[in-house]
Amino acid sequence: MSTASLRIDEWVEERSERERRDIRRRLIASAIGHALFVLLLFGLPSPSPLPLPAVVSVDLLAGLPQPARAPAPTARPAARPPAPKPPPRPAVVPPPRQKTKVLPREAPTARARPAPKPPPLDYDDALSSLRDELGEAEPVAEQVLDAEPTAARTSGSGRVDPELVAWQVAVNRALARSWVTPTEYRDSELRTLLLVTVMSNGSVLGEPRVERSSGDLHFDDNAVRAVLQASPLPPPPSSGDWPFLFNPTD
Amino acid sequence: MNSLDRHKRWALVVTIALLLAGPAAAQTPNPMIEVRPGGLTAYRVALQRFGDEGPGAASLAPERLREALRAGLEFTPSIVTLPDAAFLGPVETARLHGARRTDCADWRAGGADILVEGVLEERDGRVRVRIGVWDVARCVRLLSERYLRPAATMPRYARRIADDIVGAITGTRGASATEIAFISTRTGGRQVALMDADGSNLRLATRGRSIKAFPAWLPGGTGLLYTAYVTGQQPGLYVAARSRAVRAGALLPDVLAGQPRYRGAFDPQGGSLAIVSSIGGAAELFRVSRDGRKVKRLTFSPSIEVSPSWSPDGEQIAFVSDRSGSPQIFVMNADGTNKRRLTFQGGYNSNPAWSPDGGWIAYQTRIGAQFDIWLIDPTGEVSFPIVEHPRSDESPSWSPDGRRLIFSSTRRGRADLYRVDRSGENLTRLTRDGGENTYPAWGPYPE
Repeated sequence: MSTASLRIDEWVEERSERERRDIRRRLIASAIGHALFVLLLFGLPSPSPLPLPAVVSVDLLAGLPQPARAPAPTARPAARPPAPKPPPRPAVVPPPRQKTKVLPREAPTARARPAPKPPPLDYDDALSSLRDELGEAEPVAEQVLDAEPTAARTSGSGRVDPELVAWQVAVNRALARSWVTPTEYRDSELRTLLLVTVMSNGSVLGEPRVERSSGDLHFDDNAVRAVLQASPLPPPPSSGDWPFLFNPTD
Repeated sequence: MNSLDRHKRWALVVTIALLLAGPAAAQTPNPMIEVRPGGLTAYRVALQRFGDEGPGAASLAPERLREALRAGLEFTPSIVTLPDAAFLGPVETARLHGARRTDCADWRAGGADILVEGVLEERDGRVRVRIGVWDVARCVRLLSERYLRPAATMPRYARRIADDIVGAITGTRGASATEIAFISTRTGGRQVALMDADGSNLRLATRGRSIKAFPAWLPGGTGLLYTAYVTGQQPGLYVAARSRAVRAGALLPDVLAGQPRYRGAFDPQGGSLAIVSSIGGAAELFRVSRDGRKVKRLTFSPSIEVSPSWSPDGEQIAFVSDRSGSPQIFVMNADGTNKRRLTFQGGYNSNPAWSPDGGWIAYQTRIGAQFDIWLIDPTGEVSFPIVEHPRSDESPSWSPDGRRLIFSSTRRGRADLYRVDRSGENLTRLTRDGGENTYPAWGPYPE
């Protein structure tokens, strides 16, 4: 019994030694593999450090803004069409057409991409190539809706990812055909944030999730309906969850 | 053994850490896509012809009911109905669906956002209508309802059904089944007249020789309140009943007896009314309980205070005062406290009308020699014109859904009533045949 027991102990000891070596090898291989994976994903030269709570505001529907490389979004008052014709009154400043209360926008940040494709295009180039593709003329100055998104689209160096910009334009174009925004919503402060799961071919997986409700369930439903109606969307730069902020102001 | 355990433990820790770290790092949030509106301002509704499920053919033709529904739906600016040619599904409802359906994709492909299906059945002179309203994008039913009415009245009643459908789609009930009161001179004198919200079915609500002015609605539309100038008497407030529950004739004759009562307006809840009367010459505002037992003077000023308009919650009253030297819009709490001036632009602002959602006050403002209709928010921060014209636009009144305004205008010479969307679009003349038409008051939702 004792001999047998000893043999078993030796065998166990020998086996443990083998296993230890084995585990060590596998551990090293696994660590190297994961390290390589992480390096490939994020370690390659990146335009900005990870991870940024990336927020890029988009407004590309009614024509693509021309003064894209404006250093500061100061063009807003001038860019807007003059709001209602002031009456011929003495010493009266014409009021703005819309309520001036505007929700604070989130700070624009550049999107972190693992590997920028050389050569980098600047914003105007990206838009020009997109216009060429869509067969569109240069937008006139009156079509500029808002200077803030313009600033938001550009990173600190004034460079953006043209593929992302193109997709944003295409998504807005697709949703413009399905998002019903009655005029009573046009000067409202309602905003709905959806999380949309977009597959690589552009199809929307399941029903978009309301991440942040506007407080008006019908307005939220409108946004969800718009995405479902527009599916499949144009193929995204990368499949996954995309936050869509529905802002009804013109 | 211990050594083995230690290695296994380390292996486990490292593996778990890597497993957790990998996906967490991979889930870098995508940037936010901001979506701005396109040109689509109306829901596209596929309205099926309702199937007849009765034992015999209904006296109300399904197509007639359908056209009445279509008119009621399209009364709301944000609704359009699709032509039959766009249908990929059947034009007529074969049967009502339950909580599920499988053909939503067909309706979506036909360009519809919404599908309205229905069946009707006539028994003993009464028509029963059942409807289903579907969001075909999400493929969920928004409304399932049934209605039972005499066959003869169903086409008119269809507007209420349409208004319910609009409510299910947009969240705010439609106003096609509402009415508008106003002052008309078509029979010579100045009488209170009524018409449907689309301008049809015009008729007089009062008779007699007295001069009528300032029509207003009793809560729930059960009657009309108006001012009558009877020869030899002070102007007084009267009620034209539209329900057996309301007594017609002089309203609370013992309240402010002997004093002129120029104008009255019930609060939206119906518990009290604001009355314009005068003590010592200048018009002042009073608040009177519905039964007349409580009378509270709200303004104490040598100036003129007129034109009360309640906020929808009944907590505040907008009014006109010339205490600052010229007529301007003011707002106060319903107990008379916290009076504050709202308008500072223009030398003559009057006839305030508080919107049903409480967000705006419409009023008329003098530009040169005529008036335009403007909106101002209750804080006084923002104001802008809704209607501008070289001739006078006056006395705005809101539709109960807040989507439209009605006002009187002299743009074609004599005063007519015009309807306009809250956006300032779709100006439509509603009165056409003779007389001056003034002081419109858009009625509440029917009960």
